[in-house]
Amino acid sequence: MKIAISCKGPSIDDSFDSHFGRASYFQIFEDNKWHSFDNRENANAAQGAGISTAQSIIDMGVDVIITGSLGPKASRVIADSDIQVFLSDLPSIKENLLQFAPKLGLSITPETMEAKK
Amino acid sequence: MKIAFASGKGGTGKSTIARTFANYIAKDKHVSLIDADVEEPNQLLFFKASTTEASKPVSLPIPVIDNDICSKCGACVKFCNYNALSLNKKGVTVFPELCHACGGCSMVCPINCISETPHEIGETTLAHNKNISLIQGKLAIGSSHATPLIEELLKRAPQNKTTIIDSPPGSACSLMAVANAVDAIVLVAEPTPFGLANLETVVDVCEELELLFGVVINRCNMGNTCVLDFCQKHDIEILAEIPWYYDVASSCQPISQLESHFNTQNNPMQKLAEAVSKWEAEC
Ligand code: SF4
Ligand code: SF4
Repeated sequence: MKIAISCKGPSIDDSFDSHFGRASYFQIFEDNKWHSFDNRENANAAQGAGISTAQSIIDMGVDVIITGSLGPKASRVIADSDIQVFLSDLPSIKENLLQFAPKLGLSITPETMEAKK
Repeated sequence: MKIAFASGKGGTGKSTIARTFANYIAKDKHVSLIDADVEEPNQLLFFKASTTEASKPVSLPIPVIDNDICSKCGACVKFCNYNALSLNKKGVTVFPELCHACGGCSMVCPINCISETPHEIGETTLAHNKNISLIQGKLAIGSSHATPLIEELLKRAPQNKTTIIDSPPGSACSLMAVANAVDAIVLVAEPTPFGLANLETVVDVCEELELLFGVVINRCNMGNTCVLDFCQKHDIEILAEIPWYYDVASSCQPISQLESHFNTQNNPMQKLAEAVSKWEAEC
């Protein structure tokens, strides 16, 4: 399962970004490992940032998005996929993963998350 | 001659002056007044039309994808510079409000499953009153395609010897659409530091495009001399100066109220008309 969390910077210690299309980075969590996705090209688009970000997320094969809000256009792109979306306002990336992991049937503790960083 | 009334920001009195000038010219000849401020057109509000023609839509050709035969190759999505297309397992979704109708996606589609359909971006309305024909463009709600709407509006405008264009405020693409179609520009500015900062942006545009232009100072009895000084320093002609009047500002009929202050000895519109005649001779 691939989880994408919108983030203000390239590290998982950077803070959660409540914007979806205009988020500079996404932290991707898969098989207990983290990597980051640089979304700045999409985020800086003059128009349609939500659509192009959603397209990148779909192309990456993401299963779950955790973000603050999803605009109407990005929602339309995501709606026709199998991607699950969780809206959140927790300030850190790790807190967000811990919060939603049980709903996704994942057993994650702060330790496992740290160890596999 | 086509003359645009423009300003670096909204609220300088550009529409009021454009209409007042149209009235002045219309005393002895036909004039076309074009309201190209398509995001917020307001000339019709102050126009007692004797006849108003039915509004005509303006459309852009927007792609339609036949998702039954689309191979989901993604070539169209990759091509589109405006993020107007997206692809998921159900096929391609088109976002008409973002599409610039460049036609590129249908050219790159390897199996030709993209056709086009008209998408309404706004409408034009033509109204007449004695010597003035007013045509207004109005952008559809949610549409951001001001530029193609203005270009179509200018094409649909009735042809008269004198055409006055009430330009959209600012110095971005919609001003460009107007600037490309006119012979001269009247820049309306307020004599304040803020007014000057906005004037400078449109002066830059006019100089870059090598357009004939001059400045009208509106509310000239307010503020300071910064706009005057700037124009003197840059050798820019002051075409007219119009004072601020309490009764005009508080009136529901600002144009007739403003005109009531003008007389044969002192009429800024006459000065403006003289400047325009000089331009006409130059053109
Ligand atoms: S016509 Fe041009 S702008 Fe519109 S969707 Fe196709 S490629 Fe994008
Ligand atoms: S280019 Fe044509 S075939 Fe390929 S995804 Fe777009 S519409 Fe489908």
